[in-house]
Parts: sequence; structure tokens; C-alpha cells
Amino acid sequence: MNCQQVETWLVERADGAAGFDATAAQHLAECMHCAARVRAAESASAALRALAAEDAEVAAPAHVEATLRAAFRAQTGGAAHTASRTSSRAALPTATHRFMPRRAFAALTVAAAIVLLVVAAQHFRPAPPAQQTAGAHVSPQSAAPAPQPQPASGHDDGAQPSAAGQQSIAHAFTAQASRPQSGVVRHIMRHVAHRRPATRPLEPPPMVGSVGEMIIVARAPDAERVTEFVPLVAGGAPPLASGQLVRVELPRSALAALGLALDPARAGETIKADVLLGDDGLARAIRLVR
Amino acid sequence: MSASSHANDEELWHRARAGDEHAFTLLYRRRQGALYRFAWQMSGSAAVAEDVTQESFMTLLREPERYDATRGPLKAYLYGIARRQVLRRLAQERPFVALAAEDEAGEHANGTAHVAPHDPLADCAERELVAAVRQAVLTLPAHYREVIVLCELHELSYAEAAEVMACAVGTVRSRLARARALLCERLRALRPAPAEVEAKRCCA
Repeated sequence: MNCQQVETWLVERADGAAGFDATAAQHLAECMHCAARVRAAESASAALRALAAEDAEVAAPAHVEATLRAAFRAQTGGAAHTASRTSSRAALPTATHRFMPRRAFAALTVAAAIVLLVVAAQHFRPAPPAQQTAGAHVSPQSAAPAPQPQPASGHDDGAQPSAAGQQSIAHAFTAQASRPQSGVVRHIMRHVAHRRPATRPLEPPPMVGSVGEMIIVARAPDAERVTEFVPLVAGGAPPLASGQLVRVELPRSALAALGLALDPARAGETIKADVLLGDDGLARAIRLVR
Repeated sequence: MSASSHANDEELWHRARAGDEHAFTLLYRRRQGALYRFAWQMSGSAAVAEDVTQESFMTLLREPERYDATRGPLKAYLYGIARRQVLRRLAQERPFVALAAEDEAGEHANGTAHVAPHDPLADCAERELVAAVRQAVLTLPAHYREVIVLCELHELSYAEAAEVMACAVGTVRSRLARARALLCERLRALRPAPAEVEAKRCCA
């Protein structure tokens, strides 16, 4: 074997096609150059194996999987959506795919908003009169003086008996409809009214007690009664480009934070609500559903 | 262990396309590590590796019809997407400049460049060894680097590497031989010998 043959032999050896035979050993014993060449090749090979072993457990961060799974859900959901509504595909070519991943964030935002509402309800729960504390279930915090929220219906809440509390909520479902809408809510409803027909072409029966543009927003399979939207953000909220309506269930204790009457005995129960979310994930307004 | 975990990539992808998120998750978990490591070893950047891994699967999701199972395994297809992503990133960012532009022409004309006067790694600790070889791999030209990463680090066969690199098996073989030789040089360059040792060429 000569030096040139050693080069070929090294390549074959690296590929596993050649072994260490006597002729190679003899040449390497005589030729320092080739011996060094072989040692270098073996060192490089060992180093590569060490690198491969070192990196064997390296993997992508967990959030990549979460992102891809969300994208997968959006993709499959979008596909099903598209299959069922080919006519409206032209109107929303890619927005559905981009919009769906935001839903996870939006859902988290709704959950955060609910938590904030509950906390606020606990914090601002008004102190009941002393003569009713014996019969009513009142939390320790309610005994402390707390700012009294303005009830939208004009009723005082904590001191109301159960029937009165129901009456207050019922009043909210009817009387609030006649209250002038704030600019934010009007804008929201206008937007949703314009958006919904494109995304929901089905025509379930309109809700009972609907008012103006809310008819379009609140279409549901079952006849439902809803209150007017109550803004959740101050006037400095970013403009609403688009959004969606998300149905949630709130503890009744959250009603106090919305300025509605609350029966303390039923504070542990839940009530349905629609939260209007902007595409930025910010909850803009809420309404109650019955 | 569920039957899903025994399914091959193509079966998992077929089910994923039908909306089975579990199958997609299994497929991702099976292949993400290799793609991430490939991108990391090619770029030297964890951020790039993360992006490439995510984008490879996103491409698969966005354009599922582009994968044709009759043309090759999904594994090679994913590697191919990752490779294109990495090469695009490398072209944009160029984090590593080839040490010698003359690698392609005239190198080792006298054959002495392959002479390693001493074993540069003999006295390396394990971490130093790994760091040195990682750096050496990163200094290789991209078309040599990828063949080293695929064939040496990821242990792909020549045929698989050829499919990923969209070239002939012979090209893979020749590039790999050249890449190995260059790697020896890079290792020596990164860890120079403390003292020169004269080497003599044998004419036997």
C-alpha cells in the first residue's frame, strides 16, 4: 500500500467498507505522514461521535409544540369550516387561519377578565344592613366598609331578599335595553353586526327582546334574553378593529362588579354571559344572558 | 403503549391530515429533535433552530399536498424543508464566514495540508473536544457542513442524505470525503499544535 492508496483506504474505512489490514498497518508504521493522517481522521471521527452524543437529547422548546398544536387546530378547524362554507371562502381567504390561533389567547383573556370580575366583586361587595346578616350568607369582607358600586338597575343589592334580587336582574334584562348606549358599545355592536353575517350565515330564530343591531349579534338556537352590553374598559381603550363574541359562565358574585343586584344566597351559582373580545385579546364589553 | 406510537411517520401524517391532533403531536415529537439539532448544528444558533423547527412543521401544515409519500419518506421531506430554511437563514445572516475561500480551488495541492503533525484532540477534555468539533463543523462551507451533519451526526444513509440534499448519492459520497478532510484541518486550525513537528512524506 502506498500513500495514495491510503487516502482511498481512509475513505472506505470511514464508510465502513474497509478494515484495518496488515498492508495498511505496515505502511503506517513506515510513513509518518500517513500515520498522522489516519490519527487525525480517527480523532475527527471520535470528536463527531462525541458531538452527536452530546446533542442527542437536545430538542425544541416546549412552546414550539404548543404553537404548532394551536396551528394544527386552526388548520383543521379552518378546513372543516371551509368545507362547510365554500361560498364565503372568498370573503375570508386567510383571516380564519390567522384568526383561530388567537382564540387560545382570547380564551385566556376571557378567563383573566372573569377572574378580575370575581375579585372585584369580592372586593366591592357592599356591607348588608345589620338586621339581615343573620339570615343571609355574607362573607367576612362584606362587613367592612367598601365603595358602593352604582347599580345599573337602581336597586340596592346586598340587602335584597332572594326574590328582589331576581327582580333586579330581570329588570336589568329589560330596563337596560332602553338606556342610551355608550359610544363604545354602539361601535362594538355596529362592528359585530357587520361582521356576523359573513361568518355565520345560518339563520336561527332571533332572540326575544332584542334591540336594534343586537338582533344579529344574539341569534342563538334557543330563545335567549340578554342585557345591554356593559363596557369593561375605560374610554382610552384601543379602537376595535374586529372581534368576537365569547359565551362564558360567571359566578353570580360577579354581578356586583357590573353594578347589578345580587342575592348573596345565590352568589355561588353561575350565570351565562357574552364577552366581546377584540382581536387584540382585550375584553371590551359584557352582557348577561338568560 | 398505544398503537399510534408504533405507526410510521406516513401513517401518522395521514391521520393528522384527517384531523387527528394526537397523531400530529406524535409525529412532531418523533421528528422535532432531529430537525432542531440539524438546524442548530448547521447554524450554531438556538433561535434559528427553534424557528426552523417550527417553520418546517408549519410548512407541512400549510402545504400538506406538497408531500408525496411515493417520492420518499416524510423524514427526508422534513429534513429537506429544514435544510432549505437553514440555508436561507445562513445566506441572510452569514454568521460564519468561511475561513479560507481557497477551499474549493487549489487546496492541498501538494498534499501536505492533510498532514496532522500531532493529534490535536488527544489531550482534550470531553467538553473541549465537543466545543472544538462544533466550532469546526460551523466553519465548514455550508454544502460540506450539511453532509457532515446529516451523515456523521444524524447517521443518515447516503441515499437519505442525497434525497434531503436533492443530489446524487455519488455527490454525497465525494462531498463527505472532502468534508471529513476539511474537518480534520479545521480541528487542527482551532487547536494548533503547541510545537511544530516535522513531517516527512513517504514515497514507498
